[in-house]
Amino acid sequence: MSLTIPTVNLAAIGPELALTVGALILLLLSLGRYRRSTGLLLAVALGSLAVAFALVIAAWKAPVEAFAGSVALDRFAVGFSLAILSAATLTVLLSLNELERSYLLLADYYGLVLFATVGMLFLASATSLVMVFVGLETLSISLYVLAGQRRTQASSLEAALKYFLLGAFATGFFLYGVALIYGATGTLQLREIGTYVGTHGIFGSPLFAFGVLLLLIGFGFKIAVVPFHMWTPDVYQGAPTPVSGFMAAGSKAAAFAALVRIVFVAVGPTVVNWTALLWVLAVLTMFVGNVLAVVQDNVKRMLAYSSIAHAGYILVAIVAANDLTNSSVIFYVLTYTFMNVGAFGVLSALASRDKEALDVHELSGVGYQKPLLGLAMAIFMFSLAGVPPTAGFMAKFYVFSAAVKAGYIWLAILGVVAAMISVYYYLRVVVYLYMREPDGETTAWPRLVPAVGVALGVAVLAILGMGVWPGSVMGMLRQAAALL
Amino acid sequence: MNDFTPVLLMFLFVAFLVLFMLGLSLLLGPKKKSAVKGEPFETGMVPFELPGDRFSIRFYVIALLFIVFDVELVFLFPWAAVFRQLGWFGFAEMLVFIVILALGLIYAWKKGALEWE
Amino acid sequence: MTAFLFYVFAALAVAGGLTLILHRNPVYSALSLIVTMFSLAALFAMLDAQFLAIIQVLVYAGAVMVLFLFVIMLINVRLEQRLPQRFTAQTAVAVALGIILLVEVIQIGLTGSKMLGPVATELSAKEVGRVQTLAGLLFTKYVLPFEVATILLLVAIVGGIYFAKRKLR
Repeated sequence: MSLTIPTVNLAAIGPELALTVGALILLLLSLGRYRRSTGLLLAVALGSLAVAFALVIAAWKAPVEAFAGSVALDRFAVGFSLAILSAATLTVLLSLNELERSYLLLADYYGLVLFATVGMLFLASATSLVMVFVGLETLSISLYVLAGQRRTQASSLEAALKYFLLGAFATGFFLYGVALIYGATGTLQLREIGTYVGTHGIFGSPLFAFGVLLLLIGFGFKIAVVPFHMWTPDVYQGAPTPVSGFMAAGSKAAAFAALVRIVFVAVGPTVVNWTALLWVLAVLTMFVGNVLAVVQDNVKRMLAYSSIAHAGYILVAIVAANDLTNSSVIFYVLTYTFMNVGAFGVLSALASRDKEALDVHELSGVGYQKPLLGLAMAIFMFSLAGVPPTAGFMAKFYVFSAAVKAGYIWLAILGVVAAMISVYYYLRVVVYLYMREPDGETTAWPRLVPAVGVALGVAVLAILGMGVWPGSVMGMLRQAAALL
Repeated sequence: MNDFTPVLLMFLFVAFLVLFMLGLSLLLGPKKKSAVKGEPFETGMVPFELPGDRFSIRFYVIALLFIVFDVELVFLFPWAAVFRQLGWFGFAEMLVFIVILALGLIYAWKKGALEWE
Repeated sequence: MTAFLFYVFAALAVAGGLTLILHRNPVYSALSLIVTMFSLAALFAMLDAQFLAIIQVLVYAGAVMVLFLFVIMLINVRLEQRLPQRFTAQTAVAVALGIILLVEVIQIGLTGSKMLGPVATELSAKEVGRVQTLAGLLFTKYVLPFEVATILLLVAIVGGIYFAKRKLR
């Protein structure tokens, strides 16, 4: 038996390699006497993220495919990777707030964040179903552990356990789907599956159609699409606040990258058959997410439901399935990363060792007591609601115009209606920040940690920048539409 | 029939042997029942609590680590079947694999997961 | 002969599964799961999936079962607690889904694999389960997923220690 050694091109996995090395160093540091030197740990984490950023940007000029069709670091992957790496970088900085510093074992924590990022990046560049699976599991297992970082708090452990059980369940669906697709097509490479669909059609064999359905259910769990969203509120509420932001933004970006690639490369030729299903899912997700968010008083829970709604908006672009889809999904994911991680970031910046202000009533008057944090939160809320001139507005605009261009005018209208519902609960936070007197005794808010301030500042600038000059960003992303 | 036929035969033989020996002692052994014989025996003392106390979570850590390294072993087994054909490429990939998992072992060791605290 | 063995092991697997859910003592349930695992391993071996058969014994009947037993002893359940049973909407849905699944299984059993459509593989049925064949693919075509699986295992080690260790340094 002769074996063909596959092409090994480390450039295709350069960013992941850099982060893995960083994470391994962090794990080793956690064993020695440097485990408490925050500066060193931060330097290692940010350093490997910076190298990963550089390698990702370098890949824009020279897209590569390697390892016998397992990964392709093409422009599409680069777009999503930028969102993922931004989410990770902001999370690393935001985790230095007062509350999280009081209990986190920083070296292990940063190591896990970087490992989760590795999984996410692999999802963005995976071109074979095994690779998608391995990436998905790497990111999920890291996130289960990250969700339970506050070991002394029951809600954090509950979040970890719930996330783990439902995540394992979803993985089962996903893996079963992969197995059935492999059985029907004899391949795991997305492009070869696409060739199979081209000749046999998607209903060519029941085995294949059922496999794709199971795959979609698995993804539905991971990106919290209605009706697979039940775990989201409890998990986001119980997890440490910076982790919730990372979970929402990073895993959403990664899973959507893989989903778009699977839909267009593997199932592509007959995508029309599936749009009716995705159409319904998108509408359900937008409305259920937004309507349930309205009644939440806990801001973390509200943001969890809002994250469900945002998954719905992104699905709208996938239903459109035209030349605007890829670029508008990437734009949305980038915007969502900054505004969502930012919003969770402000909450964590307000958390002191003995008090976590998570209820919207507790935010009364914060706009005057902590003007900068209040302003940042207001901007994140406006952006999440989709108010111009923030990036959130442009993101929704691109997504809905993709739907209109593809002729899904009703879907776009429903999307706008759902977005209008969301304005209520986002602006409610702003109202509390600025127009309500704090009830009872004044809270002693913690001092703003410089690293947290920097991260929030960057997020605000990114949102305003992408909102004011969306054209130039979009112009770049248009070129990302081409998949390798 | 395939390579597993001997395995099947051995299973059948073992099953037969076990049943045969049990049956033999059942047939030939003397049987005298008394109340004292039914009591649990603990170095001559009357036991004061039921066996089957709560297990310590320490066992769990050990079992968990065992599974992870067991899965590692699963990968080594097929590698051994083809490593000649793979040459240095195969050596390199297994080296990376082992080194990363060795780091895992060092991590577990230094964190004290292998100690009976 | 093969058909006879198939029925023996299939019956054993089903019997193990039934004991697993019907027995009230969790330890017995766990042990009967081993019977199922072993029978499945035998079925895999008969299908020329040698590697899978060995893994089934090594990992499932071996390591995973040990963990199951530890967990049972850890939470110290003597006998299954019987909760008051009520017929809820959940039960109705579960029963309905169960019946659908049963009908499907019977249907497939009757019509054979025709209904499921053709199964395509890169290899012939004889060689697909061989250790060499699997290794030849795993260490060449799927080398990247294989290496990333290491990271997966490492994260699992870190996570396991994190949650199970009482005092962390």
